[in-house]
Amino acid sequence: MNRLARNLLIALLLIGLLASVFGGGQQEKAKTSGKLVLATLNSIEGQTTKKALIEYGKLKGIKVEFVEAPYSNLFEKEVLDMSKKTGLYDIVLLDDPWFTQYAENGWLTDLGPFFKKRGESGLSDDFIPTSAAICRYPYKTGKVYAMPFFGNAQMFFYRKDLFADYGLNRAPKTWDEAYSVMKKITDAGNGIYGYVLRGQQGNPVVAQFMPVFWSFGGRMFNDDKSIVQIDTPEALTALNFFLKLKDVSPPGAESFNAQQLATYMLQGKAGSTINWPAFVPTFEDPKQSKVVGKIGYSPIPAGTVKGSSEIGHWLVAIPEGAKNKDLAFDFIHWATSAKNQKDYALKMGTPPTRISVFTDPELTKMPKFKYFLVLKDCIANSTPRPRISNWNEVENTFGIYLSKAVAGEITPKAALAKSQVEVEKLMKKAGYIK
Amino acid sequence: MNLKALSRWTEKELKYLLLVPTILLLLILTVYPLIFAIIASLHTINIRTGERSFVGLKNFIQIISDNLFWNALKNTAIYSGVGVTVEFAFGLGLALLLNTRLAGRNIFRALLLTPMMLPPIVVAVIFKIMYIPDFGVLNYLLGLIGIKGMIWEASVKTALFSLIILDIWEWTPFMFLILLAGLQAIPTDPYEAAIVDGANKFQIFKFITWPLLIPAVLIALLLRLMDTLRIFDQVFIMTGGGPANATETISLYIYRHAFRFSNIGYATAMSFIMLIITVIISNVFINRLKAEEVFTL
Repeated sequence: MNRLARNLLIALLLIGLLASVFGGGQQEKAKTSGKLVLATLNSIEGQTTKKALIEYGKLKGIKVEFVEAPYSNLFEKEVLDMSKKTGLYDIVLLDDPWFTQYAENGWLTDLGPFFKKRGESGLSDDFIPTSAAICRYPYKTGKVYAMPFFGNAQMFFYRKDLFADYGLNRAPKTWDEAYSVMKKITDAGNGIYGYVLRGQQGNPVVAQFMPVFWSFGGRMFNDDKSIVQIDTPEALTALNFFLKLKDVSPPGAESFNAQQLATYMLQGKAGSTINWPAFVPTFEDPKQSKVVGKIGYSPIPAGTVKGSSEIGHWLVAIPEGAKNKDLAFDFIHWATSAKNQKDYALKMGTPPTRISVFTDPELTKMPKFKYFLVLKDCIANSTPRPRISNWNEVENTFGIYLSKAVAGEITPKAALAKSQVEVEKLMKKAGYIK
Repeated sequence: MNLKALSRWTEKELKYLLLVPTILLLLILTVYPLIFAIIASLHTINIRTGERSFVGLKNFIQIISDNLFWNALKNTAIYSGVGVTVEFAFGLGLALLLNTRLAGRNIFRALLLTPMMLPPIVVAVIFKIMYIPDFGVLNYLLGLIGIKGMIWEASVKTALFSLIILDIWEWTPFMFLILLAGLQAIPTDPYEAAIVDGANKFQIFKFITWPLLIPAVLIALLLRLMDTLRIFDQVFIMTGGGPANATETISLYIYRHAFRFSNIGYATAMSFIMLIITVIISNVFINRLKAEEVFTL
C-alpha cells in the first residue's frame, strides 16, 4: 500500500497546488489614522471611484487605500463592517437598493451637518431630483445619507433600421405599438427576434418585470408599505404582457441575464430590449458590435400609464463608524462635482447624476454621449425599487414566482397570488404590516 | 527540578509535546467554530435588524417545513448522485486506457488535466455562452448531425442536467488522476501470475485490478461527493437557482439566507444539517477504507 499512498499524496498535492494558484484571495488592509479607506466595486464605476480617490489623495497629500470586491461580496463586506461598527471604511460605494437597509439601521452618517459647515443647505439642485431622492431616508423627504455618483436607469434599446423597415420611423411610444413591430420581426423568421427578455430567476427577472409592471399602473406596495399589491388586475395585465414579450424573445430567455441581452443586440439578432446604459459604449464600438449607429435609445414605452424605468444608481456614503468623516465628506463632495463628473464621463465613459453634465453641449455633441439626454429623461422619470429594508428577500421570493411563470410552470394568476401570500409574510415579519 | 530531569521528562513526553501546535490549530480552526455554529443555530440572529435571541430548536423545526430547503436538498442529491457516478465511470475508463502502453499517453494525460486547472467561474461563463440556444456552439454541433437543438439550462426539465454536464467535463480528470495513481500502485506480479494461469482480460480486471483499486476508488468517490454536496459557483453564474427553482442547491440557499437576507441563525442551522449529512456519508466511506486497511485510525 506504500506506493498507492505515495501516488495519492502526489496527486493530492498537485491538486492542492492548482487550487492555491487559482484560489488566491484579496488582501484586506487595516486602516490607520490620516488615511481614507474606500470599499469599492470591481466594475467600471468602482474603478472610476478608485481613480478619483487616488487623484484626491495626490491633491491633498494624504494616503488612500482600497478594498475592491465583486458585486455581492461588496455588499457582504459593507454589511459586516457597518453592522459591527468596526470603522474599517471611511467611504463606501453602494448600489441604491442597499441604501434603505443601511440608512434604516443607522449605519450611515447624516450628511446634513457637513453641508452646513460648507454653508450649503444640502444636495445641490443640479442633481436630478429622482437621483437626490434616493439619497434620502425616508425616501425623498428625509435626511441626506449619501451622494449620487453614477446615474443609471434602464432604457429601451431598439433597432432603428428594423423598426423603420416595419413602418415605425421613431421610437415606439406605447407597448402596443412596440409589440406589433416586435411580432413582425420575430414572425419574419430571419433568425432575428423582436425582443430579448431577461428571464433569469432572482434579481434579473424582477428588474426586467418592474418597468413593465409600472407602465401598466402597478405598484408593489401602497405608500406606507402596509398593503401588498401584487395580486391585482394591473399586475395581471402586466404579467400577461410580459409573457407576450417572452413569446417574441429567443428560446432560452428563461436563463438570460444582462450579458446575454447585450450579446443578442451586438450580434444583430434582436430588435429591442430593456437594459442598463452601461452597455451603450459596447453597442457603439465597431470592434464588438455589428449594429454601430443602428440602435436607438428611448424611455420605456407606455402601457396604460406613462412608462417608467427602474433606477439603479451608485451612491457614495460615509459609514457611521468611519474614522475620518470630515475628509471623507470633502472627497465625496469633490468627486460628485460637475467638473469631476464630466471628467469621468470623458475618460471612463461613466454616466453622471448632474443635469448640467447631462446637458453639457461639449459632451452631447459627441456620438458616444448622444444617449445622455435620453438617459437624463429616463432617470428623471424613473421609479426606485420599493424602499424597504428587506427588499433582498422580497425580490428573491417574487423572482421565484416570476421565473415559474416565465418557465410556464404555473399560470400568471397563480404566480401573482402565491407571491402576494409569500411577500405578505415577509412584510409581516419585517414589521411593515402590523 | 534539575536540568537532567527536565531533559528526561521531555524525552519521555516528546510525542505529546510535538502534538501541541496541531491540537491548538485544530481547537482554534475547527472545534471553536463548530461549537459557535451549534450555539448560533439555536438562535435567531439577523445582522440587518440586530436581532439576537435564543429560540431553541425553532430554526430546525422551520427547516423541516421549508419546501425550498427540501427542493434544494433534492437538487443537490441528484447533482451529486448523477454527477459523481458518471465522472467515476468516465474517469475509470480513461485511467484504464491510459495505464496501458499507448503511444503518446503522456500527452493525453496532460491534456486530460486541463479542464480541472480552469477556475470554475470561467468554465461556467464559457458554458453559458456555449448553451445559448441560437448561436451557442453546442446546438450548432447538434444541428450538423441532424439533431434539433435544446434549450439546455433555460428549461426546467434540462437545467439541472446541463449543470451536471459542466461538472462532469470539469471534474472527470480528478477521478482519472486519482484512479490512475491507484492503478500504477498495483504491483505487476499478480498480473504475470494470472496470465500464466490463462486468465482473460475480464477475469484479470474482476479478480485483480478491481479489488486492489478499491481504496483509490473510495477516496476518489469520497472527495468528489463532498465537493459536489457544496456546489455553488457554477450554479450561481449559470442559472442563479432558476428557472423555477430547478437548480437551487443547498449552498446557494444557505448563501442567500446568510449573506443576502442576513438570517445568520437560520443559515447556520441549515449548514449544520448539511454537515451531519456529509459526516454520515464520509463515515460510510472511511469505515470501508479502514476495512481495506489503507490506513488505521
